[in-house]
Amino acid sequence: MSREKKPQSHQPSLEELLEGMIFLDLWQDKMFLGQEFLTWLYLTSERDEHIFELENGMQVEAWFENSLQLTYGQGPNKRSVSITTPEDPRDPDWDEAYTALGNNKKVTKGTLKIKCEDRQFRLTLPHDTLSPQGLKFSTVKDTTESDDLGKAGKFLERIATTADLFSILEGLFNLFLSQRLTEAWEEEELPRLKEYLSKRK
Amino acid sequence: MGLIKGNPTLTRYRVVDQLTDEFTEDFIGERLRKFAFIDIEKTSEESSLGWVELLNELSYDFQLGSFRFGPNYAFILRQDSRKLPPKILNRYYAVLENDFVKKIGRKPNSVKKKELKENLRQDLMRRCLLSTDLYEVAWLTTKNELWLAGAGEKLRANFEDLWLKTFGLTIRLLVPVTLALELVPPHRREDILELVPSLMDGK
Repeated sequence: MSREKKPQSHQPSLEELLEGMIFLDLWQDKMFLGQEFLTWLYLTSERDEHIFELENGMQVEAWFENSLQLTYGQGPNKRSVSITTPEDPRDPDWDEAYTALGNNKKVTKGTLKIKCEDRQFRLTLPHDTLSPQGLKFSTVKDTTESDDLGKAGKFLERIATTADLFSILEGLFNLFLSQRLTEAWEEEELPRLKEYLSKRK
Repeated sequence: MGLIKGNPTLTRYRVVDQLTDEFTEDFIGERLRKFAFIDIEKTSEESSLGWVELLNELSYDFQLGSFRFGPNYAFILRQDSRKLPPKILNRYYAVLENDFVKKIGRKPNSVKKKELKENLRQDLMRRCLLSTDLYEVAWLTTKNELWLAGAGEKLRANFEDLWLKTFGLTIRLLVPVTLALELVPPHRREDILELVPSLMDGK
């Protein structure tokens, strides 16, 4: 596969590209993308002290806090381990996680904390959808207002904050993809991550 | 719940079809009313699935202004369901059959048994309490994006089916591969489709 393809004069639209493909097969076939992203996110976050600079220049702090699920294999051969650390969430004891990663398990779910400017989010992020579960917003108070205007206002505020979160998650995923699709992934980033992992095991 | 209150779990979709001029607020309200939730409280129906208003899950009038919030549309997918455990049905059927034998002097034949059981099932279902599940839906028209405050295969299938019936608009679930295909430049999309897993262990 050529890693540095040049743009062609006619690129098929996404719908044209996906035409005839069975969505569930495609989703299943590329399920590893979410696992590799979460594994990369976890290792890079630990290695680089939780700081990520997105392609738009925005600086984001992101780290896994308290719980991680790591999995090896699929179907009947699937082996999972769940790790929960009650220690200081910013410095949890991840020894078990490093051992699991060393045994070729990949991160399949984790409790992620994200800080960006004045916004903070805490969410569980599963590898199969990369959509937040149990999302907690720190900047939007839960509504106790009973009138519709108050509720509608809070709703709009939460929509905007959730859109910000999706934009940050996309920024992080894009950062991963921009490395994953180049030769630098095999030649530089992967060896760097493996070296970091072998030091921590 | 989720987007108004609490800690939401979200499923994210892309609305693939472009909105035509037909999709006015009036039209959207009309479609929501057509596929609105139907109350089954006083019936023996097992479940009912439909749209209700975001700020009042007991209302499904969808008057103008009740489902539009700034540039977004929002409503709730409501599912009411009741379950009759087979053990309960069998227990009451045994009583009914006993009464039948006393009255007629023999056990009911298979046709009669089926009829008695079905009537009993409907009677017991009417007496079962309903449970209600509510899933908020936010349609961000400026981003062609749709969020469902809930997750799971069955919920997704129910939602996707009702969405298509209501609006006839194709949606695509946003999962890692579809998200990646959207994020990379068009000339890198084939690369995503050709990717194979890489080893990330420490060996």
